[in-house]
Amino acid sequence: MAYLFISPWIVGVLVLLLGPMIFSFITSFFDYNMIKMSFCGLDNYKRLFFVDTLAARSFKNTLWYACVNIPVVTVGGVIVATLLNRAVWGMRTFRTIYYLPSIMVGVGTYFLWMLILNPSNGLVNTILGFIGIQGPAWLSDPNWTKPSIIIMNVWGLGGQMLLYLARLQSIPQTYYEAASIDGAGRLTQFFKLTIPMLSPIIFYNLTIGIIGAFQVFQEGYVFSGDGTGNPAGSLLFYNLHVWNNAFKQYKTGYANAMSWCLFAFIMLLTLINRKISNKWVFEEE
Amino acid sequence: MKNKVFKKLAALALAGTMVMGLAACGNDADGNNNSSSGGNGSSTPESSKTDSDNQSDTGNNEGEVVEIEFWGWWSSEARKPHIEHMVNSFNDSQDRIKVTYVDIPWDDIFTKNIAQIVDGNPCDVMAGNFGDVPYRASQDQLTALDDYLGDLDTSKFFEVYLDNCKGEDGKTYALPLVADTRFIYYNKELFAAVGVSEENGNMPKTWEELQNLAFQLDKFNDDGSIDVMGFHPSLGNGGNDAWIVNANAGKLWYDPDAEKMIVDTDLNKKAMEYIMSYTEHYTQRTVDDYKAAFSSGMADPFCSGKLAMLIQTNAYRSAIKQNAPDLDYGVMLMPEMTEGNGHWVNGGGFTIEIPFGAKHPEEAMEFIKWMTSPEIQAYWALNMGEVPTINGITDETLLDDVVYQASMEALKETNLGTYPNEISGFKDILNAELDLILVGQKSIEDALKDADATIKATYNVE
Repeated sequence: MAYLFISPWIVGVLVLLLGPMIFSFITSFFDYNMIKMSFCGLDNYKRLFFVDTLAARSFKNTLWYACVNIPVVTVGGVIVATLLNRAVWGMRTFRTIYYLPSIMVGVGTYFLWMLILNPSNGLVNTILGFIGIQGPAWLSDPNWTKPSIIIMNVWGLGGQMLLYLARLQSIPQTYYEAASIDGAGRLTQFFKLTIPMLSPIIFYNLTIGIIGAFQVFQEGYVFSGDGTGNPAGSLLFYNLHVWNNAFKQYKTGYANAMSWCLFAFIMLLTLINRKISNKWVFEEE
Repeated sequence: MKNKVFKKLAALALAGTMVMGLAACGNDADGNNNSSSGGNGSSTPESSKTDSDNQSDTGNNEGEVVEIEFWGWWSSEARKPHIEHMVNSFNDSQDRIKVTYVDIPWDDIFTKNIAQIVDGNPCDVMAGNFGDVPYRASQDQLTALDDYLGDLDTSKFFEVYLDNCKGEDGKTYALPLVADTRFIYYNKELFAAVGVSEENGNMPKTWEELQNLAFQLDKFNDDGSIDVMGFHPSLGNGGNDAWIVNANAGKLWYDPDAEKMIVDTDLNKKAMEYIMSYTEHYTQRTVDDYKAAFSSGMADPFCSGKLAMLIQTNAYRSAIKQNAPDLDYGVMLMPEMTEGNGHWVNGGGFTIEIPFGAKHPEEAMEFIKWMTSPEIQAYWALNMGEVPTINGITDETLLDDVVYQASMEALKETNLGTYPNEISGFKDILNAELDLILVGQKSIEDALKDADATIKATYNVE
């Protein structure tokens, strides 16, 4: 009887998730363009590792983005949550203000940031101009395109912040009192007490962050204007290259091979993350 | 025991799902189950491409109205009503076929078409993009039209456009709908201030003359910042290609005669040096500011009088009409790199085609004939900006139009940017390298050399 009740979900997983996944894995060994298919063995995988120079570039871009974005957003989230955990006047309003950007998602936000980052009359460069700094051409200079996206992500870290804040508020005040009696200062309390108590949430956000960072797509698609990842291929992220191959070049079999390699890579990172979490994640008894 | 039963059921469901998935993939474009598809063998439904089996058995009875769908991406208030007007005029012109226009965003239309083909239910007729026809034909997305052309006189189409509608197998997979070419728009008032006009006979004819005039037109503020820019080759929508094709007298990165890439060449270096000489003059920062002004959709610098010349397509006049209706502008052909080299530019435009497996190809062809008739072509040109791809336009308003006249002249030396299928996608590699030149992060020599080597290695071509 229980299986009957869960059968809609089982069917859903089989038909909508597992089925397409298996199909995409099978077609990764085919020269497949969504209309016809012919077996090509490991050609798609060989092309990915030995021929497609754009794939290497897209992976490099994605790796750079992930390596900078994940620490910045994680540290930023912890700092903002800690600041918003204080009992000062108007704190609810501040929390709302910091959280709001995380619910303003979508392409509209990207266009808003395109205006904010406009080199000549955007808000960011105008403010920098007040203090005598000539801001860069954020979205035209290949060196600044990825940092621009990371700045945008920092603006939208409210979701992470909320989780940290919830956890911070559940830490008993007696821990801090005890630490204080033992002579621990503010910084020591933060690093020896707050961070360990937050570590399960940091671990969760890190895991989700790694998965999300390696799947970055929309930002590259919108900011490059034509989906090619320009300027100078600096926004050609791995998933954007997958998309271009699947839906512009109609090399769907190859795109599926790329997707499975990304899946394997993220899985590997997640397993490593899980393995080393024993060393730094504090689990309460 | 229960677990074993469940596992068996789950395995059965999974197997069923896979079979359904593979079977769906194996459907040929007519929606018939193709038992030979999938697996190791190719399931190319080549043999049935122009097969009369494609024709539906519905709607052929006398007196019955056949309803067909026309897919395009024109959805704005400025364009959609005109498309619907042309469709409605076809519907009113006869009582056998009823066409409905369906607008689908540009980014989705081709993938949605594929999904419909796989499902066996594509639209009957759709708009396409010139440069893509041979490649999309090779991907089994298009119906060969040769068997349906009937009494259509294809000699009315400009030859270069009709040639670009053919697949590598020589069959016609689309017909030209409307064309885009490029020239330089100029601000007559700013030109007059420096004494340059067509009447004076001192319009720029070569790249060198263009640059001299551009720098003459510059106006600077007291603090040294630019107030009015004369011209920059990268502004507008010609891109690097406009200068490369002009330098190479009509060839664009690929030499079809020699069947080889022409990337790392002296001519291309000269063209890129020419573009960069403007950036050195105006500074990278100023160029970035102007580009950002165009891309953000804010005040168009040409329409607002902050840019004296701009390379754009014929359709740009609609933007001028909308943003600066009082602007006094003219158009001139792209200057030649050196005298006698030709006014070559890169161009494009749209095709009209029948997706593979469409149910009513004959009725769709009737509609295509209507859309490529002189009257409709003239209507399109006058109301939407693109120019006709056919001879025999008689509409006097259009014939007197200065942009139309310039377009007809420019079309004679326009490269549509169609490449062999084997190098499809090479521009993603090339453009990334060219961008590095434009932002000053790589030398012209190194970028062209690297692009050349990477393209040849990736596509295994000469």
